[in-house]
Amino acid sequence: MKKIICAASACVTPLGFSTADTFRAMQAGQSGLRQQWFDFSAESFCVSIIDEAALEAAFATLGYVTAAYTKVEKMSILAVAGALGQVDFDLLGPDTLLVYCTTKGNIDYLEGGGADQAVAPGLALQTLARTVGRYFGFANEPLVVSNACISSLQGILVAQRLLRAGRYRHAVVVGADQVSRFTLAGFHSFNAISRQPCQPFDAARQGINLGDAAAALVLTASSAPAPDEVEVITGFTTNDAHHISAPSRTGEGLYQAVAKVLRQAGPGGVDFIGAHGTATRYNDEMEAHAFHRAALAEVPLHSLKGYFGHTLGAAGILEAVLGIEALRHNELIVSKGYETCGTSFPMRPTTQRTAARLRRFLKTSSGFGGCNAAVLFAKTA
Amino acid sequence: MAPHITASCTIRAHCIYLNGVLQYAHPTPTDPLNDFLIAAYRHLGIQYPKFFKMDALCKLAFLTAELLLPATGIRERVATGDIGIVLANKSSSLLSDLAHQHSIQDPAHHFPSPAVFVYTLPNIMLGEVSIRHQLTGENTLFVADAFEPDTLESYVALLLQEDISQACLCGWIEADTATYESFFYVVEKQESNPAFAPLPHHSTSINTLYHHSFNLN
Repeated sequence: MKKIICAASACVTPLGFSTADTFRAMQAGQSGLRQQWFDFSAESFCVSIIDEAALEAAFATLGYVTAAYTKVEKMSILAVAGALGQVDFDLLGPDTLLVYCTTKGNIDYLEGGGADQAVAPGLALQTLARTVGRYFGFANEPLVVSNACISSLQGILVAQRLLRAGRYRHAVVVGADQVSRFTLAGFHSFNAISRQPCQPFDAARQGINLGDAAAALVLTASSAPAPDEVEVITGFTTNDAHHISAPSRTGEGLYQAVAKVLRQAGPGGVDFIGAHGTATRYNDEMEAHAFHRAALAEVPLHSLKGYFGHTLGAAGILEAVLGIEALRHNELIVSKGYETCGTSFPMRPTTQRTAARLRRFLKTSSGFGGCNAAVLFAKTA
Repeated sequence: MAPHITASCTIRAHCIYLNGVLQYAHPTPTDPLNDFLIAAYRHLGIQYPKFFKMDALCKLAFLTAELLLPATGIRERVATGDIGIVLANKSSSLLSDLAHQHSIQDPAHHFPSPAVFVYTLPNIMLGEVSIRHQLTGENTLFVADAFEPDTLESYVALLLQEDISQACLCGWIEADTATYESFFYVVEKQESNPAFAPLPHHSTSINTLYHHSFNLN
């Protein structure tokens, strides 16, 4: 039986332009969240922004670049370049699939004019994905997944399934989204934005912060992986069939996704959970309910939104990649912003950097449209 | 038994076809998309007030699924968690993106609406269809340049083969400022729909069904 191995990864965040740098800064307690003013509001917003000059400098080290790229394209290219640079096999041939995941991509292109303007071609998500793919010269057209905030966790799952079925040998999954007036104004109109650094699962939580991020993960099919490699075991997506923006009160959809994963994965338990943890009242309550129903209430859990804000379509893969790093380091990640239990079903958010023997990690994401995803990662025996 | 396609529904050029049979032809081909969709909803006698809150893309998805799913009977035969939805689209949620952008374009007249913003994600249409038909299985939205059956066929075949889903609502749906179309079909692993001669689940059959209403015109 083929195993699908996580061979390499890269994160592009305000905390670093590699997985190692981002993980180190996060474990040192740093956060990308800062106050910033936007022209449509008299008050500042707390956001996690990648500095454009730092991004440009890192991008320049990739070599001579003729085309002009947008911020989200640079973030994506830097993430893919970082991951590709860590493996010694060719990932550009016909046996590799590039899976590009985003919610709003180059949405800033819309700022150029009113509702009647001609739409910039770079706005199309497929064009954005192709721009990233062509930078490297991937032989295959990229596969684009856009499923709200589960986009890139679902991208990992789609790639894992295609690899397991033998359609490709390798996949490069990348997720990217940026803070824009478009999303900030939209979430603000929902009263979902916290002016302060977000506090997932805490009693005082007031909502989300938005953030810029890109992350890439190289998956490869292997029949005889070395011990202690990290494998994508299984995963499922579900729909709440309840409401297009409000999470299910009983956590039904997320519970179903997690229950399917645990059933298929068999015995072995879960050593920690990388929750979605947006820090809205309803989301965190929904997740706590779902994890209780799945008998995972005692499992250490974290949300990484206190470090990066909510990075929308990039969140699933960014948080998966950093969870995989936690597995490799045998070190739990502090759920930043959490102090006091704020859910009616108590959870165990990690409050101290803790060394532990870690073998299995459950990553979940939920999003608008009622979608949920749960994916289990584990070290090979 | 190999998976097969048990029904299809197409909406394009202000006409609605179920299994290749015309169900509604809008009298005024020059009407805006939204006017056509509302007229079709009324003509078909559907009662679902949430329809009027949806953006045009979701209305289009809703109507396509509304005709297609009852024609298959899968909701009676397949457990809700075993029915997946796999759709593909080109312009994501462009129509609602433009509407939301318009509401925030001028900082001095900044009036974003959550009722518009929520539709600025293309997978909301999967949510609307899931709510209406109580489908709780896999959901995936791919974005591509144009209708292309191979990706859909390949991924859906895998979902059925691995017993991740037992049936799947699949298709292509697109709406931008100039054009629109929807083409949904149902693929089932077991049991066929006696009202429709099932087709093998291959890219060629999907292509034939997709082009069917073009050939009628």
